[in-house]
Amino acid sequence: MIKNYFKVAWRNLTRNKTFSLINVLGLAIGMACTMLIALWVYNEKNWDGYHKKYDSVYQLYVNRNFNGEISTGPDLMYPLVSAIQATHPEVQHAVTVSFPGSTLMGNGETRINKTTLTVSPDFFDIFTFDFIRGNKEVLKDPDAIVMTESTAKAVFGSTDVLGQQVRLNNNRNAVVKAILKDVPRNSTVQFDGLIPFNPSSPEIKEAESEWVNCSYQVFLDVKPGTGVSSLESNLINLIRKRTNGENPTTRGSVLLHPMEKWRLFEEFRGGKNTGGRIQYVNLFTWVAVVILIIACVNFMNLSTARSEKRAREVGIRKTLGSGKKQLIAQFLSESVLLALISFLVATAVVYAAMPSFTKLLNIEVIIPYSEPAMWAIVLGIILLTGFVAGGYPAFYLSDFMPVKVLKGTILQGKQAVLPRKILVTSQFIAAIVLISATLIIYQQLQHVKKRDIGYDTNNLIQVKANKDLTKNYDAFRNELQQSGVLSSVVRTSSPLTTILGFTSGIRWQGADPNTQLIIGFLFSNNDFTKTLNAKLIDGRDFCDGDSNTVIFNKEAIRLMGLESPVGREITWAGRQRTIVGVVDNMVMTSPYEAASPMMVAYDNKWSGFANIRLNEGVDVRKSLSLIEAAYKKFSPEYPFEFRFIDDEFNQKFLNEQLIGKLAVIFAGLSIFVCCLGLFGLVSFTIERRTKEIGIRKVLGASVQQVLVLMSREFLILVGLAFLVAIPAAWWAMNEWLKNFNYRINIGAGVFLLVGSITLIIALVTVGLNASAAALRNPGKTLRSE
Amino acid sequence: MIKITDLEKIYRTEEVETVALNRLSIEVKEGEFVAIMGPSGCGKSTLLNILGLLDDPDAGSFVFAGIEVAKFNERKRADLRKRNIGFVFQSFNLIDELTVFENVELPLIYTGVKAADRKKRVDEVLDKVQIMHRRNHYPQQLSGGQQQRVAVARAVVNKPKLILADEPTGNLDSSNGNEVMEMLTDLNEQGTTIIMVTHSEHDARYSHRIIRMLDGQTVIENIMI
Repeated sequence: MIKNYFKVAWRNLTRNKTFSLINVLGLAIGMACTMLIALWVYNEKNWDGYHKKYDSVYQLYVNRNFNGEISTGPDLMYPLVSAIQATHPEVQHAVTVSFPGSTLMGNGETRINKTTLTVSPDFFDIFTFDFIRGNKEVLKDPDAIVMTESTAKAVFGSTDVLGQQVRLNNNRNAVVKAILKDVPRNSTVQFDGLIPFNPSSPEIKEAESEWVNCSYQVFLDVKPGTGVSSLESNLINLIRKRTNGENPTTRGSVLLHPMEKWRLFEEFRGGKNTGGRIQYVNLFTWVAVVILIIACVNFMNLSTARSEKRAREVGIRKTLGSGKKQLIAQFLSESVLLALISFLVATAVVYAAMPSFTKLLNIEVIIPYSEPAMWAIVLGIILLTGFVAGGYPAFYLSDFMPVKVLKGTILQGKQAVLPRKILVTSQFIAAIVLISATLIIYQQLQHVKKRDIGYDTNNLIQVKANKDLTKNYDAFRNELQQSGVLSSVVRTSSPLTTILGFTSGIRWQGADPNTQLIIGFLFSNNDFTKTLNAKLIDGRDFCDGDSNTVIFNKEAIRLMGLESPVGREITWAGRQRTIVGVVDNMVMTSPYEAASPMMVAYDNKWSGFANIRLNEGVDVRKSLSLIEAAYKKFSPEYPFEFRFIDDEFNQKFLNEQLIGKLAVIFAGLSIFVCCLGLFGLVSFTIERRTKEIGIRKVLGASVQQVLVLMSREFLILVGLAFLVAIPAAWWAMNEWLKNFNYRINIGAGVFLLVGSITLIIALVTVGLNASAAALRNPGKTLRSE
Repeated sequence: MIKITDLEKIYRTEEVETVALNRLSIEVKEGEFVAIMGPSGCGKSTLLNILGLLDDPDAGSFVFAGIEVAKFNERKRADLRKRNIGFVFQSFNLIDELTVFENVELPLIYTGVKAADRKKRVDEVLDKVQIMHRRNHYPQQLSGGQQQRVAVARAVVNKPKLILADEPTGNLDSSNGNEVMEMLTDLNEQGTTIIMVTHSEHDARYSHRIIRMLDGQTVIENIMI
């Protein structure tokens, strides 16, 4: 019986090539989109999944309480880990890890900056990384360094380098004691090398009793069955006990963030883990489902539209004794077969698209062949698509009365056409929502990119400073100025595209003792506003002779409530400082957020970054080689590394740019699949109405009138879809935009554009088909009837 | 074999009510060959559909092989139909996507006959209607007469007790038409009951009895000698 079903199904598919092609193409595109998104979602959801202790590892976060305002961060105090190990047996392993830093690695003439983590010995008891050489015990040796395979090759040209010495930051040697396979891309913890803490170094000795300043990350491996919330309260109590006095940390709480949430739930608001990337993962999961449904709807529509052709077969089969169930089974076999063929096509599409897709996502997409769940999902997709797509036609067709169909009296009345119209309208609703969303994402991205960020990122180069460059800074600057390539240069303690330091310790006369402002800060020196092209609202830039001077931004001054701030004194970090200038708000952190308060403190010794403003119109390549020559002259021991600030700033849009690109791709494909369905449906309608068109033309209808007649019905449906989709898109995108403080207001223009695009696409789709029918010679069509 | 009493079938639309069968009573005995004749719209096809369990009556009794079937649901009707009744249509009604062999095989599949058995029975019946040489062809590749022979083969392959033929020669020339009528007569002589709707007096002469209908009722019955 089943064989018979599939045989008939196959013959039906091969006989009706256009129908089959439209269906296979639509379903294959739908499935390919679903598979690509599913792979992406799988990879996102399995981020860090290769760690053996995936289920029991947590990162410790602190909710710091600044007079009611909660700020969540992973920065903790150095001695916490040993305190936890001494007092909490339910914590199997605990590790202190520095924030990622750049370390200069030298071997002979080779000098390379690599990202390193400084870690305590339990690191490999928590994280799983594969050793090529050496073992986890090497982290007990403070003179050791663990390198990844790529790092070893970059520094030594080989991985067979155990026991070799590498010079770190030009000031000490370390011995390569272990080589790891490169850190997988789907790891949250990323590094090129690991350096053990050195307990006998003065910094660590000092840090061991430091319970206020927080500069380290802490990861815990907790015994199964441990109550997370009770451990959290025990840990904050431990911190309170060990900390001498009260501060925002002791007033706050701690939060254990499980490894399974590191990738997708990375946002914290008001002390709670509120989500993050998961919203995009969920969004695109829905997009995948919607596209697949659109493709299934095509199948339903085309199958029911063909029902008149299939009706006779149903009648005969019923007369010969086929029950309704057998007919349903037969039609479902057809749709499952079609789904299977589509799946094979989709698989080929996925393989072909994989390189571009992984490049776009900038992640390594792993196809989990060995995962039984994957095969279950694949089978599920085929069967589900087959059943969803074939379900309605199967029930619809198998319901035909044999008496009627064999007499040829079955006519498709309003009842039969209505569901089809509803399906087409629903498809277009989905497609219009997707197109609107894409355009709104694009508008928001453009809006943020064009935002006045308070300084000019163009022609601004950031060079990483070092000990020698800091020492020779004035000579370096003079050399460059003489070359004529730069207009000015300024040193900053942190990159201009982020704020790394925050303080609540600024005091001034007249300050409300009950408010504790958190203000971002950085150190800089002469020509700060000049180099950044920042707008000075009041006062002056830093200049020669400054020492204890500060510049605030407008937002900081507003929050401090200072009138005529220039010349006023503040106290910070044990020093009295004078406010010499106020700059307009500068967006250094998230371009989606309102400008945050900021203080720039004058410091002529801080070594961080040299920011160089190139003269307008100079040849950038030539300028860079001049800068490199100067850099090498004054710090020959260090590699010259630079970044364009505008490129750095653009990194902030990567996530939204990716979402934008994915939205464009999937919205485009969804409308394409919609149009495939519409095309098929129109061709069937036209086939049914060939005689009518012929008669109308004989009676004097023009081609144009026939076109209008054929298009009207479908365009009304598209119009209806538009009316339903717009409020839905408006609501959904408004919710999305609420994630950003700096955002667009959705205007009518975007919907007018979407309406026009959809209308044109639908018109072209219908018109292509209808014009052929309208142009046909009525004499021929009527004769063939 | 068949006894219908006071059978009624009324077709209703919003505005019109058409009485197709008006308290019709007929009895057909096992082994009979009955022709039903009458002008278009007299209800003969409706009667055939009800006899074939393709349609249900609005009122009256329909006893088939001793069982009252008038109130049977679709599932029971389908089951009874596939085991007992074979159909021959004017327009052959073969499935274009299936070969001759597969078309004839279909009723056996629905009654759950095993594959080996099916092949044997289909080949037998194809041989009987002399279409064996075309067993792997598709319906469109055959002439009208050949198609109707396949349809007859399909109707008898399940060895039904009753064959219902709706204008079996309507689409055929006289020579092919006669061949089909000979086939039906042979089947009847072998014991199959046949009820045939026809407009052709010539064809009707092959039967034992002609029931003439008008406005949903029998007006006259001729016994053929």
